[in-house]
Amino acid sequence: MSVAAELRWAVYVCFGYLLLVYGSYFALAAVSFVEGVFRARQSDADDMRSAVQSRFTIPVSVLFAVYNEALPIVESVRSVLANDYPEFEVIVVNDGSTDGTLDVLTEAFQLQPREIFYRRQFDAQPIRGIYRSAADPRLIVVDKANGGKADALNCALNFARYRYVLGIDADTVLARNALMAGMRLVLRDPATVIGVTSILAIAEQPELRMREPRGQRRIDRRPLLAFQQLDYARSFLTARLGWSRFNFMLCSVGAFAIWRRDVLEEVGGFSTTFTCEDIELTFRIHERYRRLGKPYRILSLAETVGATEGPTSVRSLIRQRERWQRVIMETVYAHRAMLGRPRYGTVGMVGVPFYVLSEIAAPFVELLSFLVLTVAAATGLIDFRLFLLTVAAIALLNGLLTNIALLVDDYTNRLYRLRDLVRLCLLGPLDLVLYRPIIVAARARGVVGYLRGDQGWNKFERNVRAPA
Amino acid sequence: MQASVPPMAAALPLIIFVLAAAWSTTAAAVVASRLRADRLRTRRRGVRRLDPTLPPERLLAPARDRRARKKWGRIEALRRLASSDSLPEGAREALADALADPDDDVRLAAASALAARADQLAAGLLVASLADRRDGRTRIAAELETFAVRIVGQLLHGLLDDERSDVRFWGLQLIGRSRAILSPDRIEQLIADESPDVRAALAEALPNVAAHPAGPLLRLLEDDVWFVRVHAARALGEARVTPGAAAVGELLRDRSWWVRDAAEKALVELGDAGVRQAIRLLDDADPFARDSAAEVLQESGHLDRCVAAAIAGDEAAAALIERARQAGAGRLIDATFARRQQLVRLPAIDEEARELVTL
Repeated sequence: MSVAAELRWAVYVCFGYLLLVYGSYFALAAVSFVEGVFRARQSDADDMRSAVQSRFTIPVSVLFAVYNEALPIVESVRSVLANDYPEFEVIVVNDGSTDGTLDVLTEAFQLQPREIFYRRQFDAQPIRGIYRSAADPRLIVVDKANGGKADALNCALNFARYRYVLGIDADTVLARNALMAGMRLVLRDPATVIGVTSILAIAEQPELRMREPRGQRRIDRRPLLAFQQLDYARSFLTARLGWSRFNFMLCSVGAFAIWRRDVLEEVGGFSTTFTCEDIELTFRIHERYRRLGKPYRILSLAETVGATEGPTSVRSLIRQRERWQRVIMETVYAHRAMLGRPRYGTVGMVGVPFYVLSEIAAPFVELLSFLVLTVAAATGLIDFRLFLLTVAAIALLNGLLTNIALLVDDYTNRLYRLRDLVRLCLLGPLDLVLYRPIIVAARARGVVGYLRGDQGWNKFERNVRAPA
Repeated sequence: MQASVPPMAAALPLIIFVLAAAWSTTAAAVVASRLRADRLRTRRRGVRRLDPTLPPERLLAPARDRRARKKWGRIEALRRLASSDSLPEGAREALADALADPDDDVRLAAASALAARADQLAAGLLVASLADRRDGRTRIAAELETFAVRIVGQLLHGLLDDERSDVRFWGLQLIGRSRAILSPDRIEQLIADESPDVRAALAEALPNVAAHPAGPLLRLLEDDVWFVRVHAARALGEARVTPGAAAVGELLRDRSWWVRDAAEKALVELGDAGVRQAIRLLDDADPFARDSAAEVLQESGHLDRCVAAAIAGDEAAAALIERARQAGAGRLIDATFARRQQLVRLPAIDEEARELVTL
């Protein structure tokens, strides 16, 4: 076969993939839109004033796994403690930080050394010290030897006393109503709702962004952060909401994930054998509950429950997304037995195949598409005008998806200034040429890293804080 | 290659035109949605505005409308109807129907609307709903919790005679919150209830609903079911039943971690009586009991006082610290000294004192 014929086939493969992927994206976006509008109206109709005061409201243990987070941790813990929720505790596990995280916490919350005898249900690295805040006794800090995020979360679980746990990241600043927003649907049906996640905003300094009033919040001026905001919005509001409606929500993000504690006990806690813990845990829980035929729901919500820090440099973003790609590949490979198996319902028949299509195959096909179309256009195998029109069509498709996400976001949250919403709308079509190449590069690196067995965290450096 | 693409090439401009139109329309929709929301700041999303001057009789029809697409309007009408000063004929039935609706949103909205009324009618409907529906009871109970005892007390007592144990459980939960006193006969009857959930709820409620909770609580401490013992221990602590300290102390040896944990916290609540039990158990053969006893001394502040006293030369305090260390609470003693270091910020002196005490 000639080179031209091979290229022709490659072009067909790329177009076929694009049609399949965008077809599934838009089908999910339509479902997500319906779900998002429904949840927003439901939230309006649901008067939670009694629940916010009630002792019947199910208490929650909030868990932090912290490694070298001296910069963001204090604001993050403060935001949790300021939540309007009747009963909760906060357990911060300092996972062997070397940057003075423990000192910062001690100073900010008047930590006092304590010894607490706890149930060792989950294996974790040895504990070096336990502290309780003299300023707010709901806060316990556990200092332990470094063992990774999953190990630290397992340690925190050993101390958690309540029926539901919320895992959040050290750079996540919660809204005052975040706990109630997350628990609202749990309180309706605690027997079935075993997990909840929700969307977060992206900011250079989340604590500053969260101080801005509803409707007046700004989007960071750096385009890289704005594109990440759009990426999150599309991921949560045109995909996960839809997955959630059909109960194959396969990724409860580490930045905000509520789980019923007995479920975590049942599956053995967080796994330390994967690069990240969040997506793998979600897959594992689905696998177990589907296999055993137990009724359950894992939900993703459209309410912005807080803000989390986004990388401000391309290099940092690549490191973060490369890690995400690795863990997706590790997880899908580990749970490949669910793929296409009717026994696993929508998870096996739709969720995992969708992951394979949009996350595993994507780095290869995106790279291939870019190369093939560029070479075909450069060598005259396809009309250059056709090439440009194709690029424009894909850019508009991305812009359309972005607008759907923004519609759901603004309908639900009414957070951002109008001018920032307009800016985000305008950035949507530019995503393809300004942001997507970075993500494709990161994913390609992630694939290489996965094949090499790399399991490093590759954490991005926290953004330097401006004086308050 | 080029020969195969003309149809596609011809269609692409049209596709782009359609996509550009769709993109522009959705972008305009984002802006329009926000402008509209800013203009109608107080309106609930998805609900057609109901005329504020509409008399309650005219709200009955939308409040009874069971069509799914009219759900949010129905909720709004129910809310308005429930907040009317005088309910029109048929309103009670409309609200009762909503409370029995299979749709959670309608049911919970009706519950909240009724709770805002906080009258006898609302209490009757909510208590009936709590008894008849298994799902969403936590939320209904949270609404009933806001009612005054004089309105809801009698209705809740009626739940205790229900043959369903889950109804008796919720009745007790709410009676405990409302602090309506139960008769000794009723307490006796509930102690013997076949359902451990009911017995646990009784234990939790007793400090608020019994004139003399000590006796019944001490009996519940010996229950066969672990979570009944947990609630009994917690309640003894909460009610400060100091004569029960010895019995609570025994629970530090319980086979259930949750019971030991509850007993430990109860001993802390019991103050000096609890501390005396903890000191007694420092030499217990059971390592869990020893650990918990040491933790009681820490959480009650007794160890901190001992350290201060030992530094000041009190030999009895030093001896107790040494006993705790021998009991295996070395890390706990270290933590206590570290706290004192933080407090007085004289690490050198404390370090010296600690050596003296340890010797």
